[in-house]
Amino acid sequence: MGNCCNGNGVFKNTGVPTSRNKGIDDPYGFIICRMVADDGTPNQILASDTINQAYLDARTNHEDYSKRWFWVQKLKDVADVRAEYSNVSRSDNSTSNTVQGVRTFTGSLTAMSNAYQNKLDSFSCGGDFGIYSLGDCSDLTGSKSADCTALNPVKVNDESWYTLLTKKSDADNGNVMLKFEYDQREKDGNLAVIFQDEMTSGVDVLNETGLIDVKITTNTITATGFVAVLKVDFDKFSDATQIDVVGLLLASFDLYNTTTGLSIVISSVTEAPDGTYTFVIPANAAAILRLRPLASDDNGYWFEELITTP
Amino acid sequence: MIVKIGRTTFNQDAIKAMGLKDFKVTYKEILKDQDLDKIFKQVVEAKEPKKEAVKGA
Repeated sequence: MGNCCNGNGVFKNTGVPTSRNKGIDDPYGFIICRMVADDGTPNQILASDTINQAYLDARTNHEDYSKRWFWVQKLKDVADVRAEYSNVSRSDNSTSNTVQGVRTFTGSLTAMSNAYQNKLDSFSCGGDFGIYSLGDCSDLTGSKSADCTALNPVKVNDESWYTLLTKKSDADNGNVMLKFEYDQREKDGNLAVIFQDEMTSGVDVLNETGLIDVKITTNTITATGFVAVLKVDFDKFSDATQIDVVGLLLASFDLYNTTTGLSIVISSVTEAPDGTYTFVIPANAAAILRLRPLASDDNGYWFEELITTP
Repeated sequence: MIVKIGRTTFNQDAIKAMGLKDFKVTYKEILKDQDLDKIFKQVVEAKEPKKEAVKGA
């Protein structure tokens, strides 16, 4: 993008208040999210929002992935650098700036395998997205909206997003390197920071984690119940090594009848053995039921299973 | 209200509506070898835990 002067010729004053931001951190983590949700609403933090734990949980656990926040933490070997402006030389040897240099991010997730690489790769396939950067003082950086009433994610050039797997060796753990360019329309001058002390006391964005995907197999399906076996869906191949999802309760689940459009009140959930859940529900006509985690439960998992009852 | 007994969490209203007879039929295999009469009674008679008094109030 060229230099976007607004043409009014007005300089900005250069006085500096005592209380000021003394620099923007390199990212320690990211929140990745769509720029605009499927329903057309922008994903943004309003200046009037209260950022407390419930605020973060609601976004982390959102059932609509286009509104969900996806957390990536503990970035290492980070370089977040903007290249010099492009310029053109004039006949008198002076130069004129033409296009701002691209800002590029490179960083690594250490002790990670291709399973995590697979998760990161998905972001280049799902529509325009951006990131809020998380600094190591538990602050959050985004891009101010034009009217300065909202903090938007900093848009990423999704065509530039890629990951590189380094396999484990004697010298190092396995790592996943992430590299991308920020969208060229993003201006560093629009960046703004929400500091930890502007969030509700006790909130620490560096402690947040993304949802863990769960795969479900169902059996013994009747009009009054079913059995669901829940396993963590990450990097285990053999049935014997896959990790059971344990400790979920009735209040962890949301069951919805997609045929009638009504929620189902679950009568009981029994976990026995670990990771195997027997559901009892009121008798219903043949239908397709949808099982998801209940967002308000904040159990840290994501799953969605359609169950056809007789 | 949700009532947890052992490894099962029950919706109290749903169990009350079920009644003891249907409860015993439904949970005969799920809660095998357990005292279903006792469990039914525990579920339907469970009360909300009392909130602790605020100190200094």
